[in-house]
Amino acid sequence: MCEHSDNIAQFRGVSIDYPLKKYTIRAVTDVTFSLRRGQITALVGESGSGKTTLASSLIRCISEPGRVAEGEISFYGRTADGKIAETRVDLLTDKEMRAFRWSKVSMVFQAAQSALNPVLTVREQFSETLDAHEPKHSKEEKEARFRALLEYVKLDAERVLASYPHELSGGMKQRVMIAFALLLDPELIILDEPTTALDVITQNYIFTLLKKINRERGISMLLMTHDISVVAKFADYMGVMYGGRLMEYGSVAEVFRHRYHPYTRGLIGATPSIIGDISDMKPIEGSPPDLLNLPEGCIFSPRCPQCRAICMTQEPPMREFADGGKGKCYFYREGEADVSR
Amino acid sequence: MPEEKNFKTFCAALGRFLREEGDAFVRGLKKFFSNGKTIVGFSIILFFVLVAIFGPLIFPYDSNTDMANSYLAPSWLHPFGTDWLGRDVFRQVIAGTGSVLEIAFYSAIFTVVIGTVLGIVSGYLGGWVDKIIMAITNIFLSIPSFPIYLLLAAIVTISTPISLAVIISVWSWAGLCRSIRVQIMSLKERDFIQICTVMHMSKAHIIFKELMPNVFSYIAINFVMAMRNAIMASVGIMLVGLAAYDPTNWGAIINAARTKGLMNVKNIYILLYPLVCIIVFQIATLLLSNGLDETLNPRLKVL
Amino acid sequence: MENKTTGTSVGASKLKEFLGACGRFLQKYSYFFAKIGISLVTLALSVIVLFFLLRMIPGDIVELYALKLQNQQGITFDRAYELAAQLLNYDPNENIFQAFGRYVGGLFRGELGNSYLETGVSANSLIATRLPWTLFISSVSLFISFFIGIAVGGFVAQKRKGIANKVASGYIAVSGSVPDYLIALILVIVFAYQLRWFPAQNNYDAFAVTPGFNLPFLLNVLYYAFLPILSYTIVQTGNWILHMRGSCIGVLGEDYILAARARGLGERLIRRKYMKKNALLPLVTQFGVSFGALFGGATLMESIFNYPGIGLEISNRIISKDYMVVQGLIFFSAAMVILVNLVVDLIYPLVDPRVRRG
Repeated sequence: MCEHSDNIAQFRGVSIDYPLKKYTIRAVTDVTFSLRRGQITALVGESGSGKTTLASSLIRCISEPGRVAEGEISFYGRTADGKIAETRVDLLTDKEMRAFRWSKVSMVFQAAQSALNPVLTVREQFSETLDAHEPKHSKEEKEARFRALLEYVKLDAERVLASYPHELSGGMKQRVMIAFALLLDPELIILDEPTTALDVITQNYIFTLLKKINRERGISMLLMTHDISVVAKFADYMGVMYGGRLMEYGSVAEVFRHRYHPYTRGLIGATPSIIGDISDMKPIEGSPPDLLNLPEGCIFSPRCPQCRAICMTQEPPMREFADGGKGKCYFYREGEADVSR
Repeated sequence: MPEEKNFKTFCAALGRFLREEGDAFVRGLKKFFSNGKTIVGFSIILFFVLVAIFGPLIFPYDSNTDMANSYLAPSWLHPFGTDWLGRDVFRQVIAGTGSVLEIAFYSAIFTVVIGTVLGIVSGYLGGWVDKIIMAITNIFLSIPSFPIYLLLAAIVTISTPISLAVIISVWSWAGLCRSIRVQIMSLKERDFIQICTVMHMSKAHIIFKELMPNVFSYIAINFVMAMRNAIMASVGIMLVGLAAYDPTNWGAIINAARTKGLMNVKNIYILLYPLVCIIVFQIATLLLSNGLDETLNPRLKVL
Repeated sequence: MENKTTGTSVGASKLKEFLGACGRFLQKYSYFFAKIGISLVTLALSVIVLFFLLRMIPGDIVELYALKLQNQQGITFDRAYELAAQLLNYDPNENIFQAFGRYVGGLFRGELGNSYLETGVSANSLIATRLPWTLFISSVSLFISFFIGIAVGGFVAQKRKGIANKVASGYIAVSGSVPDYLIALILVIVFAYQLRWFPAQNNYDAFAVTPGFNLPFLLNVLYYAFLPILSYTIVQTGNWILHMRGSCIGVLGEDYILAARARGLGERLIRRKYMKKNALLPLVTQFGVSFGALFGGATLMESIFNYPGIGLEISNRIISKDYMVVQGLIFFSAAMVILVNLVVDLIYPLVDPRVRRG
């Protein structure tokens, strides 16, 4: 197990299907990558690129009727005696899965306002979640724990615990969700576009808070976002998803410095910057792929400015390199020796 | 020469118009019949309409009594048997179809027109007009409708399907009015209506050209629902013995069979036929309105 | 002088404080006051509507009654008219507004209207004897159908592909398509006339049991009420299943259900505290609507079962043209519907924290 101590979780050849009435949509196709322990990994991609679906598969919370069709998902968590043991997430029974959720991997949802039950107070929701996992705590212990968490995210614990979700502002709700995610001291937190609905100042505050949690508590994080500037500021590693495939993976510094993959380059080029002129912004031509009618060869080929003949007939392999970076493109780090084969 | 040219352009324009509109019409029809429920519901209703139009021509009803042939069992000559006066029940039911459909159709029109106009005016204008219309709507929703139907049917002498339809629709538009108002109020907040207001388009233009098309599907569904309601109400009124202007109306047949049935049990079986007709027709209208709802409001199909 | 000014300013500030407190009080409960206000306005308007509706009757009621008296007692029409006017408490010289004023005055004294066909019978006395029966039938069937409906609706919402959902859909379609009174008619014909298992009229057997709190009487009442309750329940259950299923399907698509699952909560807890609790809220308002439908529908249902409730009185007296009583009974029904809807509106904030004020 030693070779896995660097990783908190690993996806190996994961494909996820949505079987519908007439056809089946493959939302995620053959994705392999690892999440580093104690680090923040970001998944970027347009909406519909499969990043949320992929991350949800870690706690088997893919929205209906999605199913993991192929591949293995492993989680390397600490056992009670501090050793690291592999958990095959995709093989857990429903009961084991329920115990695994939130205690090992928790999640901060995209829309905090709709992720809380509107008819229960924050206290009731915290309490029933704790009871579901650790039913032995006394009332005072529970209360002290809730307070400590809410104060950690700088909220007025007394007031917030007694509130219903609609009585809190958007930023407060997102902080409640973050405190909630810390409730069972998980080893990994999935952040699904945690700041989409918030204003810029609150966004900044939330990311500062998350970074603090990551550094102070050593909790690994998996961030899904379509905002590449957030990735640059906040994440350590990043994966780029397009049409359900992982196009590129590497450390944030490397990916941004080299911009090897044409899609990543397009994404970075399409982001407005405060210093640059708006005319420097170049949108990626064309529209996101139709998952029911994917192009032959490389799925990015119809929009790729560097598309060549081979790209339109054969899907490029994932090329891996010694420093851990990898990319799905024939011309990715052209000339360098890859280690994939 | 210029006249010929004008004529040619006119013809070309007409051709284009017809082609485009025809395409839109065909597309609309295809969409309309893409739903199984719609097809079944529509076919059954169409069948009843055809029976109402051509039935009396093929099987004319003779209201003369023929005591010698009363209480006959169903046979080839009398598929549904005969009643206490020896009249053919099958022909009665056919003759009554038109009577039932007329009431349903008229009162659906009246209900939808009153409800839609008041709902749009109330929702769009807001303010005092809205308050007044809503106050009126509240009364109509609070006073139970059925006693009022009976009361009106007793006060006004009903002799035509239109008068019965008026009585029914006077007390059934309120629910539709309220829901149209809610829809209009939410549409009003949408950008395209806001833009029209900013552009100083006339209120009539906004109401008829912008708002109406957007609630049209809702109105279509409610038209069918209003037909359902009218049939329930009219048959109910006749079942009490009021509005007895047409003895072949299904409600009247059921009432007669029921009251005569107290004296002679043989009569009771007569009410089975109109009863089954009503049930089949009501299921058809339900299917049609559900089918329309599924095609016109596709959000339901996500599931 | 100084003392006096302080005195008044103290008084003024006290008054200000008092007014401020009143304002806060009104603001805090503005939701409740608004709802009560709307209900009172609706009630007042329905009095007006009903009064003028009844005035539309062709042939004055007094004239009708006078003709009857003339025939009965063999007196001149003028004398009969005078007598009728006196008996009906009608003054031929007053205009319609004065008459309306007098009618409203009567309402405030609690007089809903007297019968001119039977002496000593009034809307009040009829309500006293008939209302309990209508309330009994409608509330029992409302509760039975409500509980069956939410249980079945919640169940089939989770298993949308199962056979149970298909059966439920079929039931909803059929029960929603057959008018409730026709279901009643079928039940009466089959179980009362043909099989003779149940009685076809009345609320209890006056010869066999004595009214009061004794077991034979209660059983007898249930026996006589069985068919009416059954037919109401058959129709209403479909309605509740439909609403509950729709509401549950909506709730199941919400993020908080997925989030609850992600937190590792058990399915039973999610069903109870997340799905049902949220799905039931919109159904509370439906309660008022259903009650109104039952109360209105009772007119026909009770005449089919010959069940002596308010509804049977209304339909019988409409046919016998006893309009003053009809006016009183319909007004009373409207008041009941308004009251039930008001109660539903007032308790709604207690069950849904999002509407809660203060």
